[in-house]
Amino acid sequence: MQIFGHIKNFIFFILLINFNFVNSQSKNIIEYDYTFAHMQNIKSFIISDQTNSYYFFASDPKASYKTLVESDFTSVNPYHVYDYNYANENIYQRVYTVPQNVKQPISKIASEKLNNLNWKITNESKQILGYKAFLATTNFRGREYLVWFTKDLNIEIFPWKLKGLPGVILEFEDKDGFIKGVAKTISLNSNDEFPKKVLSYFSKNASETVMPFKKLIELENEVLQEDMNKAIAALPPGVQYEVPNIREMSLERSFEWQTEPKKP
Amino acid sequence: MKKIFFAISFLGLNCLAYAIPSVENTNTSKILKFSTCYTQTITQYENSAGEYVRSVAGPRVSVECASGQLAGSTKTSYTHQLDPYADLWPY
Repeated sequence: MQIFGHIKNFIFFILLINFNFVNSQSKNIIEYDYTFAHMQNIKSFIISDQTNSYYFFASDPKASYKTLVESDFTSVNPYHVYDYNYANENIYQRVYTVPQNVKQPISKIASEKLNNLNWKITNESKQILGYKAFLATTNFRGREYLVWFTKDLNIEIFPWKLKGLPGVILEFEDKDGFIKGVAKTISLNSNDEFPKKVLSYFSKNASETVMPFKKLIELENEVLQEDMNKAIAALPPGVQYEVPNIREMSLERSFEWQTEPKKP
Repeated sequence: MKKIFFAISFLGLNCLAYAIPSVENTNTSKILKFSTCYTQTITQYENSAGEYVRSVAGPRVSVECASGQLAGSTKTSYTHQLDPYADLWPY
C-alpha cells in the first residue's frame, strides 16, 4: 500500500512542477492599432505563450498593454474576446447575442476547431518593426483578407481566426475595411500574466457546457433576422427596398457549411 | 385600284413605324434605372456601459439620387442604440 502512496506523491509533484512551468511560461504580446466595425483609433492585443493565445480589443485609443495592466483591463471589450488553444486547435468565444425567447441557462462560451486557412503567400515583402514580413491573402467567411506576416520569430501567432501562416501576423485587413490591425509593438518573453479579466470570460464550472459554433451562429442569425424584420416594418408604406445579407455588418458574413453540396 | 391600296398600306405602315417610340422608351427606362440611389442605416449596438456589441445593416431603401450623387450609390448613416440582448447575459 505504501508504494501507492509514493506514486500518488510523485504524480502530485510532477503536476505541481508542470502547473508552475505553464504559469511561468513567458508570454509574447503584440499591440495593434486597430479598426473594427467602423470604430477607428482603437487598440487590439494578443498575448500568447504558445499554449494559449488571447485576442481582444480596448476602445481606449491611448491604451497600451502596460496601461491595461495598470487599469485592470477595464477598457477591454467584454464581447469580442477569443481564446485559442494550440493543443486542440479550438478557439473559444463568448456567447452574447441570444434571442429573448431562449430560456436560461445557456452556455456562455462557444467553440470551433480552427482549420488552417487557404493562404496564398507571395514573395512581396516589407519591413515591419524591424522584421521581414511577407504578404499573404485569403478568403474567409465572406471577406477577403490581406496580411503581412514574419517568419523571423520562429513562433506562430495570429489574431482572431486568421490561422495557418508559418509565423506572426503583423498587419491584417479585409478589403472592405471592416477590420484592420497594424502592429505597433511586440514584447517577447514578457513576464506579464494572462489578464484575469479575460481569463474569467472563459472560466466555467464543470457542469457548464461549451456551445458548438454552429449553434452560436443560429442564435445570432435569429436575432439579426428579428432586427431586420423590425427595420423593414418601420419603413414608410410604399417605399421600395432591398434586403441585404443579415450578416452584412458581421465579421463573419457567410459560412463554409452553407455552400456545402447536399449529399444524396 | 391595286396601286392606290398598296400606296395607302405603305404610307400607313411607315406612319405606324414612326408612331412607335421604342428607342425613346428604352432610353427613359435606362435613365430611370440609373437615377436610383439607396440609403442604408447601420445600427451600432452597445451595452448599458457604452461598450460595442454588434453592428446590423438595415434594408437598402431606393431613393431619388441627390444632385451630384453617383447613380446606384448607397448613402450610409450610422446610429447607436442600446442592445436589448447584450445585458440579458451577465458576465
